[in-house]
Amino acid sequence: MSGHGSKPGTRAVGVLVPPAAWLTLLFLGPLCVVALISLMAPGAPVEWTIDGSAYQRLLDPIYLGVLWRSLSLAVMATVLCLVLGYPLAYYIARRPPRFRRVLFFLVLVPLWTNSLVLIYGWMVMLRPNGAFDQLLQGLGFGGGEPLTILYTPAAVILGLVYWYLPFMVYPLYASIEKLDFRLLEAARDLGAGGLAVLVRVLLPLTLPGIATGCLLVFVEALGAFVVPDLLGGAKSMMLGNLVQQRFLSVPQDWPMGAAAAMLMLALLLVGMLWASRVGGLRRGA
Amino acid sequence: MVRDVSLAIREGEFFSLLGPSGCGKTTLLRLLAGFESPTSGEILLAGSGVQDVPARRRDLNIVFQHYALFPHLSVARNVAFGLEMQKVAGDEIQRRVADALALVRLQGLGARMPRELSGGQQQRVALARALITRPAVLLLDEPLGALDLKLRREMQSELKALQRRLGTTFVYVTHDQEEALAMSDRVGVMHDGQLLQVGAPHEIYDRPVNRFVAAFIGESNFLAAEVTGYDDRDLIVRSAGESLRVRGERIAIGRRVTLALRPERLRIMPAGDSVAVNLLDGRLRECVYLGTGWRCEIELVDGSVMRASLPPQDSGVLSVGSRVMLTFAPPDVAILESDS
Repeated sequence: MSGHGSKPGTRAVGVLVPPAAWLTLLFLGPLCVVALISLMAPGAPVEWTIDGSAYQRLLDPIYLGVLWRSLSLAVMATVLCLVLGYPLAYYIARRPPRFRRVLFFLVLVPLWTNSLVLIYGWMVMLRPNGAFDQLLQGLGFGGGEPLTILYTPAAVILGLVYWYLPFMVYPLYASIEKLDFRLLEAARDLGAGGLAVLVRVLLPLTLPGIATGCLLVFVEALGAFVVPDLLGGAKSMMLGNLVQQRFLSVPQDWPMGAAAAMLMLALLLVGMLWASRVGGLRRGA
Repeated sequence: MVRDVSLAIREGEFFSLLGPSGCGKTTLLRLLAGFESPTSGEILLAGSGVQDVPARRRDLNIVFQHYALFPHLSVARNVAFGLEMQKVAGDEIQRRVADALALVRLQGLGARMPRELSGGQQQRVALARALITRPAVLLLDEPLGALDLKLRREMQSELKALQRRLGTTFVYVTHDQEEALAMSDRVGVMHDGQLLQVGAPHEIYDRPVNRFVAAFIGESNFLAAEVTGYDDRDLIVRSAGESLRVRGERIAIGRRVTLALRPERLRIMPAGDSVAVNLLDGRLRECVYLGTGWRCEIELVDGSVMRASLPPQDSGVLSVGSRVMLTFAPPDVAILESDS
């Protein structure tokens, strides 16, 4: 191997040219364009003079409200995904290998189904006198009032959790599956109860999976616009909807939309930094 | 996995469960630890039933086969784990961790991470972690299995010395018969989920109860025989065309038995020498010098091959191909039921 000098390295660089070009052209290029637009003066859709007022206008309480709602909905969806996904991933990882594959496949099924179909399905179920409502009424809950969950933040969270749960389960499963389960026995043997086993052994050792899963769900949820658009209605607008509206709906305001997009990107970078810190700290373990 | 095991382990003894892999010895250990529950039967610890007590409340700790050290905790935190679970005060934990590390000769390594230690050192950490809560019983699941031979030998004597010093009951699972014999006060031999024999190492070695034990612990030559009579001390049996004297309990005349003979208890004599009792005619087929002695194969007249180990000075009769006589003393034979 060593006799061939730098040859393998040179070849590796050559192989990297197409994907690098692809990413530069199709990812970095548009990103620069958006960044540029975000600095322009407002117009319909854009006035090509630099003034940076779009960022200033983002500080308007209405937009700060959208930002706050986006963050809190994304965080809540992430936490719920973690709480629901962890036991699920743990359960799957502890089945015999052939069952694992089947169960894991079942978790992924929603990802392979057309997302609009799924969301419309949820709308049908959640609307007043829908399947959900009738079930609750039938069980004696709801007090005779029609269900009003559709077009509320709760419906958005429900949709986000439903949609992004597989993104949480996959990395969790990957890190739980690698775990040496005798460590849990060792902890129990030394007197640890269920909670102590979880907090002292299980969670620290699967932290990389937790960080990756949270990052994936948070990133996706923060930028979501189909779910809040269809399940949330006007009062549940998120950053993604804001971006979409400023670019596509009248009155158009591209710098505003671009500035919101850049803000979202900044938030995601912070999230990624955090996740790589948390995940990276334990990598050697 | 484990059937009809009835076993009483004495307080303060070094007890080994010995058997080939898959014999159920680890399952038995896990039953004791509380990781498995028996479908029927009882487990008593110091006189009281523990089969409904969860693992974490049983006053026994386990040293796992591959140590199962917590990879995210330092050596000191690993060792302290049991005390932290018992909510022992911080300064006492520190003191006892230092003591425990000193006990296994790992002073000053408390701040290291487990992956920074050698296999032997990790083994000691696992030991310190399990001993720090002063359990009544320490369970060890092939703790030396991953170490190389030299380190194994060192750890064997160290473990034995530690057990003697602490007076803790050790239940030691191993498939290495030499290890079991060398370390244990008593050994339980397991096969196919059953406990075949329990006894001191010399009892197991000299008086195996059946052919499996005789073959698994050390090495044995087996001879089919039939009881033809007895006198006040010995049984007279007929085997390989010869009449032989063996010491043992009286068995009905006509019964078929198997004789188990240890290679090192056999002697080889020149043909024609007929002073001793228990002479078997044969031909020396092979002889190998091993430094500690000679290892020879003798083919008997009926075609069966016997192995004998001879001390190095016994080279006088060892010419390969010559006719020789095999002999042994009546007490040096174990008589086994023939069906086993």
